[in-house]
Amino acid sequence: MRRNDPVDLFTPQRQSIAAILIILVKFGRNMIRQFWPILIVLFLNRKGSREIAIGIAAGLFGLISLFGSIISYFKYYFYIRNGELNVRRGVFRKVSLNVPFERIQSIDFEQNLIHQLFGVVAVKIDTAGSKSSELEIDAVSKDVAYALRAYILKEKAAIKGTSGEVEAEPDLSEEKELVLSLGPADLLKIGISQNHFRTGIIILGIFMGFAQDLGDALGFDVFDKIGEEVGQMLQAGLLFIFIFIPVFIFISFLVTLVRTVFKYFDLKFWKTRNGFKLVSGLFTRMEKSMQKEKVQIIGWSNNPIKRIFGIYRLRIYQAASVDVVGNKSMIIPGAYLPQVKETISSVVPGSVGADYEQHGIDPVSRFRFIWFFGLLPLLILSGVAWYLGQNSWYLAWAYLPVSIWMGHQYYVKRGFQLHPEYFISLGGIFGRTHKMIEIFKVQAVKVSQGWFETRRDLATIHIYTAAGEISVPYLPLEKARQLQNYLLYKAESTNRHWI
Amino acid sequence: MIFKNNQVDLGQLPEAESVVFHPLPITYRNILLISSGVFFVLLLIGIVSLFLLVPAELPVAMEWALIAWFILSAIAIGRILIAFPYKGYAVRERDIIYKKGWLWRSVTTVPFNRVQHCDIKQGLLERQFGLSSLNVYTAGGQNSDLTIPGLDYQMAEKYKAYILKTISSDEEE
Repeated sequence: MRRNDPVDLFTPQRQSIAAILIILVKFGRNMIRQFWPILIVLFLNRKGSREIAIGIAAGLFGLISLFGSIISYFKYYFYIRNGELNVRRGVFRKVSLNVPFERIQSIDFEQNLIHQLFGVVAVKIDTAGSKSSELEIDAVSKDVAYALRAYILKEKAAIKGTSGEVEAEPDLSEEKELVLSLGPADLLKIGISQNHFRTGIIILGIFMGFAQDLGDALGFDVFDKIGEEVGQMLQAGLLFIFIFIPVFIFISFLVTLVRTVFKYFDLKFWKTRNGFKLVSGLFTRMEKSMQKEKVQIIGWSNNPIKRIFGIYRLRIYQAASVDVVGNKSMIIPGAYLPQVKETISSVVPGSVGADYEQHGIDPVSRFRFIWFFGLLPLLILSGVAWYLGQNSWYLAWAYLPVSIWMGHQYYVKRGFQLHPEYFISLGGIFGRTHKMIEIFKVQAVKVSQGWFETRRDLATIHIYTAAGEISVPYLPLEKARQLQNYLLYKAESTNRHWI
Repeated sequence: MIFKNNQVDLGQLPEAESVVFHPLPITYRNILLISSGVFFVLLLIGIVSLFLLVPAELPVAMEWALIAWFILSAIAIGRILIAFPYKGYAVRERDIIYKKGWLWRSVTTVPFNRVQHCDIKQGLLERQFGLSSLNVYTAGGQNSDLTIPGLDYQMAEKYKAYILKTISSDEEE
């Protein structure tokens, strides 16, 4: 093994020299993120004599961080010994980490602009289960990174092999088949059809945080100022609705479009011999790989705009600790149905086009939906508005028919599909969502009943996997219990490896 | 039959509901009552001393605070008393089941062949009464983990040993 390997992984080695710059940038970015309110204040109240002091301070600060980056670069070593990945680092406090190969869940690469410039990659290693679950090597040359991954995966397979578990060979060959790649036209479609509402909320959140920090820095409450403005607009009631909301939606739309291009630029998704590989990003190139057998949940969904374009958002979840499960999943924001099917059938052959039993949820669910997402908020809103003396509150009731329609959609689309080996949960209001699992991978099952469900003899089933939970509410209790017993039976009567 | 498509006869499947659930020992209920009681007594002391120390004339506010305290503590204590009989657990050949809840009921089952490890924890009060909680962990995170509280310490040890033995024999197969 070692003979075939041109890269020596066994003697302690430093990162690529480019790591100094990357550490420096990372450090600087963190500092700016922490102290930017101070920076703004300094820039806003500048006076002659102060400027020099600030200049000196900034220079000193820059020097110290440069010095710090260089030292931490020289103090960082990584190597492989005794089936463990070892990292020694630390300037004042020495840290020595050994990660046994069998604990390593995944090895991913990432490249930002600097990485791309120097032809190096950052290596991210996830060790599920432990608390500090990610180990990161800031910058190594591509050769080293690929050799490291190949070696660890190979050894991991050997360990599993000796313990009697059947596991496919890891992917050492670069043989792969392109499932899809996204061009500019696809990116535009995806950008248009993303969830702008969610972006809106994120923008609002960032703005709130920003306003808070800015207020703290400048010594007045930004929210008060905005409150005054908005209060005046609210007096004009409709003005608010007809100007603020469209502007907000437009900004959300632009931001989503830009984010989409940044994140999914030149996305390529391959099938490899026993897994998947995903590369994407404009300034930061991400490379993720996943082994098929680690896949726990496959989700695909659309919305009305995606439906017009005929695309789905495809997401593949693998077993991971809760705090990183989001990072460890692969997202393909726009895939056509044949590509979705190709992906699914390469993980679970035979599941596409199989015979599924279709099960819906109890019709009473639509009234519950209308109550919780329609009537109740409207009543509260109207009450508050009436109390405050707003006289245009009844306009909000135009939402009621919308919520009735949404409740009906919810009832019609929610449910599940069952096959002896597979389970697909269905849902969606405007679009459709699907989440599929292989039943033998179930880790726990819960049947729960709220007081409403208890009265109506209904129940919710929660199916837990190593990558999260799937649930279906408002099922007849008897059906939920039978489903529970069946899922448990399938999980308990197998000794196939599931994570 | 609801699922016609299955190759197994659903009527033959073991049913998680028909098992006999062991109730949790009554001592555990008392522990819950004690810790809840301590919390509310401390809260009461807090409320009273706040009104004694702050020299504002707020007798009405004091009354309301006491009424709120009374209602909240009554609900908390009442909930423990009513909901306690709904808690129960069962250990089967291949899985462990925990049920709970009066208004919000749930029955959770974790197959042994999906358990990563298990341990026993004892709080301060639990140790005084010789009780402990059995924790069963699965891969991937907390949401599918199972905790059975208020078990007799010896029993918990036995269950733990049983589960660990089952896990290791599964791996040998």
